[in-house]
Amino acid sequence: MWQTLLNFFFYSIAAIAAENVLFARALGLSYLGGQPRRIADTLLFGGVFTGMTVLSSGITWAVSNMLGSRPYLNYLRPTAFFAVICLIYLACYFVFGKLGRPRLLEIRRLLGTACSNCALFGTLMLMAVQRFSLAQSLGYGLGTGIGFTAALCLVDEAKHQLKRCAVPSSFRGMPVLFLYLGLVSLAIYGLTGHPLPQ
Amino acid sequence: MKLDRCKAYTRRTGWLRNLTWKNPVVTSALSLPFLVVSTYSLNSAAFIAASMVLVSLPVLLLRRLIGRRIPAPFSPVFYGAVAFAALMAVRWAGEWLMPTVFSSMGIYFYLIPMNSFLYLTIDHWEEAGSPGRPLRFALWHLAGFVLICLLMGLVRGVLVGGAFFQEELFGGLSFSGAYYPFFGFVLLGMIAGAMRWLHRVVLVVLLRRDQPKEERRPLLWRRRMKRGEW
Repeated sequence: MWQTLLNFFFYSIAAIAAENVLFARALGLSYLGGQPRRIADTLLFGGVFTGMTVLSSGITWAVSNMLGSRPYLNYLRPTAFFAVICLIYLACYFVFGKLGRPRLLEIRRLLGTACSNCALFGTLMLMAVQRFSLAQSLGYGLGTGIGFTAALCLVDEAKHQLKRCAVPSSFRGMPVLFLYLGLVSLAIYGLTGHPLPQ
Repeated sequence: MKLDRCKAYTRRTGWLRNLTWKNPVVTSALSLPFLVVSTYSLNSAAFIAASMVLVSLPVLLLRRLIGRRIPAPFSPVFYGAVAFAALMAVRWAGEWLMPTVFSSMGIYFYLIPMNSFLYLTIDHWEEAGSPGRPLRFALWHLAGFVLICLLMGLVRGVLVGGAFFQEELFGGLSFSGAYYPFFGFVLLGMIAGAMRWLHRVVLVVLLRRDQPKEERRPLLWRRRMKRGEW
C-alpha cells in the first residue's frame, strides 16, 4: 500500500519537473502561440487537460494490459489509445451539454483542444512503452497535467517579461520565445543530472 | 514616399510569406514537437516531413469535399480517425522502405495525427471566405513545415555527425548536443529570426531604391545622427 502511494507520488513529481512534457519532451507547444492569456484561463485549460490525462491514463493502462504482447502491437496500441481518447471526449461533451451548467459548457469548449493535444497522446504512449503500473500511470498522468499547467503559466509570464526587454526587432515574439524555451529545456536537462556527451 | 518596388515585392512574393516568415511553425508554434525532437538527422527529418504530408493531405481533401456534412462535435473524431488510418498506411510502407527509422523516432511518429496544425486548420476552415482558399493556405503552410523540417535536419545532422553526405566538415568536428531538444528550440528560434531579418533587409533595400537619390538617408544614418553629423 505504502509502496503504491510512494510510486504514485514520485512518478507525479518526476512528471512535473524532470520529465516536464513541455520543456523536456517539447509536447503541447501549440498552446503557446498568440498573446499571453489571463492566469484564470490558463489554469482552467490546465485543469481540463489534467482531468483528461488522469482519466485516460487509467483507462489506457487497462487497455494496454489487455493488448499485452499481441502481434501488430505497433498498429493496435496507438489506434486503441486514440479510440479511448475519442470515447472520453464524446462522453464528456454530451454529458456536459446535457447538464447545461455555464462552467461545464465552458469546459466543454476547451475539451477539443485538450483532447487533440499531442501532449495527452504522447504521455499515454510513453506510459505504455515504459510499462508503468496503475499507480505509476495515474501519478505520471497527474504530474503531466500539473507540470503542463505550470509550464504554461511560466511561459505566459515569460512572454510578458520578454515584451519589456530590448529584443532586436527580428527576434521579437516567437523567435525569442523559442530561445527562452531552449534555455529552460537545457536547464532542466542539466538539473536532472544528465551530462552532455563528450 | 514612393513604395512601388516594395508593393511589387509584396505582391509577387505572397507565396514566399507562407513558406518563410509567416510560416505557422514560426509564428504560431504549430507542429513543433517533430521539429524540435525528431529532426536530429536529414533522414529522420525527411521521413517526418513525408509522413506529415501523407497524413495531412487526405484530411485536408476530405475537409474540403465533405466538411460541411460532419457535425462539429464529431469532426475531431472523424478527422483524427482518417489521419490515423493514413498514419498506419505510412507505417506499413515505412517498415518496407526504411525499417530502422521507427526505432529512433520513438513515440513521435504516432503523434503526427494529433498535431495542432491539422486541427486548427479544420476548425477555422469556414472563416477563410472562399472554399478553395483554406486548402491553398494549408498546402502552403505544409510546404513551409517541410522546408523548415529539412533545413533543421540538415543543420543538426551536420553538427551531430560532423559530415555532410559522407564528406567530413570542419575536420570531423561534431557537436553532439545538437541531438537534444534544447538545441532544436534554439535552432528554430534562430531560423525564425533569420527569416524575418532577411525579409526586413530586402524591404529596406527596395525602399531606399524607390526614393530619389537626394532623399535617401545615408548608410548608418542613426549613428551619424547621434554624433551630430547628419
